[in-house]
Amino acid sequence: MRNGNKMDKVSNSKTQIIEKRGGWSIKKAFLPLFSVIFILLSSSTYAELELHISKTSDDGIPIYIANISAGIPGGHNGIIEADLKRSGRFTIVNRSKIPNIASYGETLNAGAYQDIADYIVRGKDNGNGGLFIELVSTTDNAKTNYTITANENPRRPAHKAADLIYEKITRRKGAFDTRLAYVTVTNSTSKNRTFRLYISDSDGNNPQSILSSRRPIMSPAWSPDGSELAYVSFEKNTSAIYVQNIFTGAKRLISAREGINGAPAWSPDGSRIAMSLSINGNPEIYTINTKSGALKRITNSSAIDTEPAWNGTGSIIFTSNRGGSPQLYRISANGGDAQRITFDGKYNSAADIANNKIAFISGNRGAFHVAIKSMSESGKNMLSNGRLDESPTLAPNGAMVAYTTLRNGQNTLAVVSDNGKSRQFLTSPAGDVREPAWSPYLHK
Amino acid sequence: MAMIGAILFHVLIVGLFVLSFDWTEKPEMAEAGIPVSIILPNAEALELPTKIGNTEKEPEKQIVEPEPSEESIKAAEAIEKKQEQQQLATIARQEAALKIKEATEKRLLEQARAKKKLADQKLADQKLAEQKKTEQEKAKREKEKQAEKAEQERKAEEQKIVEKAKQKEEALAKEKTEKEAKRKAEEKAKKIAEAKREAQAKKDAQAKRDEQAIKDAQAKKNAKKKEERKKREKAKRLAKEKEAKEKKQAEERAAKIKAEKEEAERLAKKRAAEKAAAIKAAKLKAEKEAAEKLAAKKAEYHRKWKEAQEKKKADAIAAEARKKAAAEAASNKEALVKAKRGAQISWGSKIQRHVKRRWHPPPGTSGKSAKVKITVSASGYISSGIKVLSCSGSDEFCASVKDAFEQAEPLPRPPSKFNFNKSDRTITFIMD
Repeated sequence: MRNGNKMDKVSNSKTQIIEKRGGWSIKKAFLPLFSVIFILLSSSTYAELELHISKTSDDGIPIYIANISAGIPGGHNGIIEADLKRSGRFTIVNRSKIPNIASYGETLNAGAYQDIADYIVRGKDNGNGGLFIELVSTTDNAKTNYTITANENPRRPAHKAADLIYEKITRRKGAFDTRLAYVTVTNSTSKNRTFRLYISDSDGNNPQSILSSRRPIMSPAWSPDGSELAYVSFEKNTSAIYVQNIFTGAKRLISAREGINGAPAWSPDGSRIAMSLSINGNPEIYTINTKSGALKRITNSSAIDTEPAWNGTGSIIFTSNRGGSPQLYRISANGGDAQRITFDGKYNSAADIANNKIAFISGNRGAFHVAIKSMSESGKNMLSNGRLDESPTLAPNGAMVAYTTLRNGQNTLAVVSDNGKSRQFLTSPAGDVREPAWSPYLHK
Repeated sequence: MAMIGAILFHVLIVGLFVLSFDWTEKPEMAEAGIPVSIILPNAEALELPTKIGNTEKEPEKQIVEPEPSEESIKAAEAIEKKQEQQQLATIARQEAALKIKEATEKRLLEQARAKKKLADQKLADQKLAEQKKTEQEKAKREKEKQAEKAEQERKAEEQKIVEKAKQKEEALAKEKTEKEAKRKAEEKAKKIAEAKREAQAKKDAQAKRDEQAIKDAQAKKNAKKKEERKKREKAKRLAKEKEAKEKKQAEERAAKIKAEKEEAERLAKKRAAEKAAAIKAAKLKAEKEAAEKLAAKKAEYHRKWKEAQEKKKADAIAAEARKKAAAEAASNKEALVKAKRGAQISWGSKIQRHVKRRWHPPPGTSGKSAKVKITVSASGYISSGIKVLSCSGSDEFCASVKDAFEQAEPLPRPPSKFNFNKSDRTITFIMD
């Protein structure tokens, strides 16, 4: 499905009611009128309803976030709202619709707001940088309370609160309290060209440079525990793969073999790093044991094989032009025959996998967009609408995709929800932003 | 015979014609009426030569011929004369031939005419004969008719005669009868007259004797008469008195009778009047009773009718009330059903939106669909499990459908006002 079509469908979302016996439908927009007509026509013989639910909808779960102390700019409620909205699963109810809601701790008749919101979030600062959060369902007035401890990063309690709310409502783990790693390039056309490796909160806030170099830094990849980053550096004038602890800054060389050393990717268990090496002159996929350093060749073809991404621990998805154009292939993590998994379009590359979803770049007529597909489905959905969108990376829950897109002549960070309903540009430091990598769930 | 006569007549005429004809007489052409060209076939030869040339113009060169001599002129005149004679002889011959020819033709014509006349005569004779025959037949028929008519007339005459004779006979018979009767009557009258005469004679004798006796007795009688007259007068007087008395008595009786009669009549009238009055009274009474009865009957009928009307009216009012109540009940029921249905739809649409917001099918599942059936409890929970009736997608897609309902719990509660039954709370979703 093309993105434009997707957007059209989103904007023209249909909600239909189909009479099981009558066989006619009601558009959501005309529901009251059609309901009246239906009431006039219906008789007691009708009993069971038959309703229609379309996939395409821009309608999220309506949630009302009350003000929660304003110790930080925008308040915790602002962070929570932005997080939930970015997921593409919620519609934030304007606070003016419930102007004088009872404060946290006060009695709340949530059922009175059933027609406005499905949920109401109230909370307050616990006085130590932590948060008390209350989630109330307007459907059954059920309340869920959370206590979130303080963190050195004052924004993280709000992200954690968003994760908890998200998980409570969607029954999927939230990925707002995560990080992004990316590379920026400043002064790219001068001698002072500087490459920096940054890490930031998942919303782009709180960026911190963990590495800077006059030489190119490329392809950051998070370790499964979120404490280390593997990346490609040309600091020795040739490509080499390093692993660096983001907290201590300690780094170690993983591969500096002859030829290309590129596109590192951690296995989900952290035991191996897949990469593209051109030891024999042709880029192939290899894995290297992170402890023993043992190298294993996975692919063996005359084509270019690169950009490996782990699909669980058993298989690797990579980009290859062995079929004549760059396409995605799947191969066992132990090597063997590769199977092509993309057939739609002449350019499909740069896969990232999370929660059984693959985000990748799909090129068509000179434009490159972020696409997403399920590992178990053959179709794909287009998510971005830029001209040169690059380096998609999935949140660990697979609900959002971060990527770079050309904006005002510079690459910048953007995040889109996996259902395409939400798209946000993230704040980032000055410079050309490249190759974001979404961290796994944080444990610290 | 007539034929022969006709032939002879014609021969006679031809003979007269031939004898009377003058063969040397030159016929007058105009009289003959025959065209000259026919009579003179060489008429061109008699024409004088024509001078050819322009008479109005003088010729440029005039040809002058030599003057002839006298001898030559004479010779020429002799020749010319001779030629003329020859021509005249020729003409005479021709005329003679023509005459012969004409005579022959005329004769032939006459013969033809005679033949034709004979034929005509014959035909005329035949026609005449036929006509005669026809006339004879006609005459015969006429005669027969006349004879028949005469016969009829004769018969009629005879009939008349017979009738007349009959009538005459009858008249004679009648006359005879009458005469006989007359005679008998005369005889009878004669006898009667004779008897009368004898009786008269006897009577006269007797009368004479009686007259004498009368005369004898007359004196006695007169005396007696006188006596009797006196007696008669006395008797008459007595009779008169008696008569007067009787008359009086009769008058009295009559008066009495009359009075009685009048009395009787009066009584009768009175009785009749009484009877009539009684009858009338009875009649009036009967009528009155009948009227009263009728009035009572009418009143009863009216009462019953009124009761029936009132009952009918009451029934109608009751029926109307029942109908109204039923209609109202039906209307209320219908309104309730409609309201219930409306509430059901409103509630269903809430559930629909509720689930829709929570459904996140895996990417790339365009065209995949599923059908799910749930029954919602009064508290908004799915009471009968999420029944995936059909699913055309992968396991992941089908799981996403189920997951949407799981996430959606608790669903909006059904409106408590209408006491939805299980069927009302059962909804099928088509998810595509």
